[in-house]
Amino acid sequence: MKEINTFLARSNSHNSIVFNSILWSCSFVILLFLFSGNSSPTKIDYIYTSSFIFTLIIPISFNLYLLIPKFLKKEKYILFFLFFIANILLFVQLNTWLFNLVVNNFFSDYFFISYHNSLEIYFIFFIFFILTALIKLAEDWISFNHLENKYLKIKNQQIENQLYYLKGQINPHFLFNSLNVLYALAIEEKKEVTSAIIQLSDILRYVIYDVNTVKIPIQKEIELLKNYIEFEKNRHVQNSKINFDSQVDDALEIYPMLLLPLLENSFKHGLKSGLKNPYINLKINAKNEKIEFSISNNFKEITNHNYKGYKGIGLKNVQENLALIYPQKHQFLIENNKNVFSVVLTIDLKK
Amino acid sequence: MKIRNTILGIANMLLLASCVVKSLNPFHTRDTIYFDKNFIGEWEDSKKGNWKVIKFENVFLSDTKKDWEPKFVNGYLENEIEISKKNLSKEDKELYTSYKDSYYILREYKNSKVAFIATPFKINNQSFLDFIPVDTQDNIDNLLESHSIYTHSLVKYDLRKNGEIEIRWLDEDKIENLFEQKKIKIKHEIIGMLNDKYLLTASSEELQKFVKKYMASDDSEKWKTSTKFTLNRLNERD
Repeated sequence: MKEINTFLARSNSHNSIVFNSILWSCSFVILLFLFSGNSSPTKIDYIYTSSFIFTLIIPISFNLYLLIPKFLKKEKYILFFLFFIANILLFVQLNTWLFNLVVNNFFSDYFFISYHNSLEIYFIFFIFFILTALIKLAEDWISFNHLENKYLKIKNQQIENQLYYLKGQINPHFLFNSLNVLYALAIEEKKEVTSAIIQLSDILRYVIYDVNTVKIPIQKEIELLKNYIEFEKNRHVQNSKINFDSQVDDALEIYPMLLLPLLENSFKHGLKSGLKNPYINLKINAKNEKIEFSISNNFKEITNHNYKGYKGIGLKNVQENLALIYPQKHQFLIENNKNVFSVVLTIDLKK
Repeated sequence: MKIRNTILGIANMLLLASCVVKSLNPFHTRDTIYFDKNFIGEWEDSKKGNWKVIKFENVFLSDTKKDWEPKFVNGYLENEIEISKKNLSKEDKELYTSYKDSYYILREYKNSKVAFIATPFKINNQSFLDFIPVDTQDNIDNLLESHSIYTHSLVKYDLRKNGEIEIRWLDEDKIENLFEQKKIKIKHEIIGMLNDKYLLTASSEELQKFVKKYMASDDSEKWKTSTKFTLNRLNERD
């Protein structure tokens, strides 16, 4: 829960460039018509409005990005009110100085005389402070609402994932096959039986416990893949080739159970498809906060008609997870060419 | 047809007449008034026009003393009077308060007489006069008078070392250029039969803001005007 909240805090959708562009563009239009009075705006009105906006940007930004988050949002209402008023009073006094600074340097041959008196400046400042604060609070509320929905979706997805793997965990077919493998190894008194039991045990532990955490060291996910491969080797075609190449930076963390469904997929539709020389190639490159994972396998066309436009539950689940957990940070490419199926996943953790 | 020609004649006459910037409100504010006694006296301009300048309260209060007339000797006022203000009516008190530090100016040129109230004031150490005409004609038609509005004009006042006084009106061409180039925003109306005259309607505070800015402008000919006079004290000219 705490980790999800941290994730949500980092995912705050406030884009200050877009917000300020919209805010000040609208302000410009409103002030331009206010200052133009009854006549249509002329060049001098555009210059005056731009210069006046300049005097508003500093105090309004101070209010939006310092006073509101530091005091109002932390329920320090009296302090917020005092600083809010002080900010208005100070910058109304500075308004003439700041305004003259701009016009004397850039528009010295213009005569800005009948615009407003000092009382009207107080009024304009007060109205602008209130309106912009309300707009920012509304934007925060929309953003919070969006994040809350996103949080609920992630929680929902997590529950679905847990259910999905819980189903897989108690899948009688999976357990039946696994036990048959162990039985066969035991009958033949093969020494691999002990390691096969440990591999199955590790897989089940991961599925039962580790899947509940938000992030997990990538090494653990790789261990899971290796255990799964080693265990499945006991069940599948003996001529199969499985290459696993990994170059990993230990410090990286990843959302759990992202990669296993892709490996399961290759076993299910590749190695089990009846090919004579099936193969699976896996490659993980994880460094500089970037994870590149690729997996490819060959398959037999007739038995694998499902690959055409394939969107199995496993792949769909991975894509939904990626969209929620790594939005705008990942690339997921599926390729299905001449009996070779491949998936390339890139996650940029820096973004 | 005759009426049309008359109207066009008046319009052309107004167009050709020298124009000064006109304002509905005075250019001075109470805190900028700076009375200079040196201007009181009798003066003559280069066109032989005669200017009699006295303190406005003298004329105003002399109405209660019918036999008082200003007397000038060698260009200086000889018989300044002091009359009690205790018995003034409410309106008179208001008038007195408004113009107690103003001049009453009577200009005689050829056979015509025009009177003004001029209020001296200073902006950034530059002396100015706010001119407003006053009606002195006794036989003016009431109907005509009821249509009249007198406006204020701005005069730059400079006392030269040789005792001469130069007064220059702010020329309407200057402000007209600013309006045409859309480089000024000041409350105004466009008036006149040909809609070609500017009447400033800004407040006195705004007018002073304008004057300050105008004084600081880069225009080297900002006080160039077609309406200017150089005044010499009467005895000094003789």
